[in-house]
Amino acid sequence: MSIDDRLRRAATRIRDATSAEAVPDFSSKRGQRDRRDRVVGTLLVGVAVVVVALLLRLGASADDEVGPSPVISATPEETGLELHAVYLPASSPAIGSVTVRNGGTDTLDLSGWSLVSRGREGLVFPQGTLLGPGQSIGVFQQGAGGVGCDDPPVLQVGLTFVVCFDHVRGPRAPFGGSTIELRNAQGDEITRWAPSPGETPRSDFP
Amino acid sequence: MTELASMDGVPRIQGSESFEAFVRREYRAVLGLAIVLAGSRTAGEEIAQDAFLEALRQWDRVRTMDYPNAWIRRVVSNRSVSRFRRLMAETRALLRYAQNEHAERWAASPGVDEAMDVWSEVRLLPRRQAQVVALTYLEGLSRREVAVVLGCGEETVKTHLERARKTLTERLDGREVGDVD
Repeated sequence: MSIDDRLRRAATRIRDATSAEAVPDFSSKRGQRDRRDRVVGTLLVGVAVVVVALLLRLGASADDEVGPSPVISATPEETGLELHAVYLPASSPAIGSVTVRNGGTDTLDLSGWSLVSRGREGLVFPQGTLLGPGQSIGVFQQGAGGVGCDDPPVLQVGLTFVVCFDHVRGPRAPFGGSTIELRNAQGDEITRWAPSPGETPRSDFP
Repeated sequence: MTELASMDGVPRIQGSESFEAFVRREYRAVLGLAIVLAGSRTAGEEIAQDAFLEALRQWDRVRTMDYPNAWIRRVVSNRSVSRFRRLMAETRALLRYAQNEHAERWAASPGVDEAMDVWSEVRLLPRRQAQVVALTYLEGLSRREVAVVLGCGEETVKTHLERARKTLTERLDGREVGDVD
């Protein structure tokens, strides 16, 4: 038997079977079906929420297990942390940009750490600030990254982070003076940057 | 056999047709299409009824289409070959009933099991080919009509049909499956 014949015969059987089917009254079905679909939809959404919550919980547990070892008070040699800064142009005495780089091999937890200048905390790293090996946090002057002074700072590890210290618009700089310290969450100084003797201010922002 | 011949030249404007008349005329054929493409009566019935309910909700729009009969077949064809839709339809159908009298009557229809064996081979084809085969053989539609239903060209339909026939011939050759004599 050819494939055409087989398909035709199979089609005939199905048509014969469906010809005996009753035609539903959809006007009455509609309300029932809508209600049922709402119930099923609600159940599915509930199940999805539970699944997502479980997955998030599992993810959090996994993070807990393999998370970084916090370095609370270590020397720069132990942590591999490097601190660099660049002067603003000579018209301003403030430091223009600061870069914190993890030159070590471990991920560092900088939550609660701070950059301090003249005894004032210019920036406190928020909870969850992790700095992987080789990653940097750049803190740049307004204008270098296009973020306005009125924008709330958002810290992104390894990406440009613009902190508003617009020397043109006024004394809003978190950093002033010619030195800057990196302190841990307990306030202990971890490392410090100061210009080398004879270093002149630069205007080449990163 | 379904008649979509009005697609040739004289559009079938259904503006004045009631939904009830549309259902009476199309339901059984569309149900058969859904069953063979979805693979079971329960899933097919669920998909077909969902499609008609969708038509009811949008009846003001659907009835003014040139070919509401093509529209309902396109909806059912696409939903039936979607694994997700099929699964959802099965699940909803099982929530509604495990087995009802219609399903029992369907299962008892002569030759249905053997016929479904043939359609199960059709469902193993690529989705578009399966849709073309079902619309061509079950609905008896012409190439042009299948093209209107699926929203593709006649040549595409021809190509799908040729490939499907070739594959089915290879798979069913020498097998008793679906030999419903």
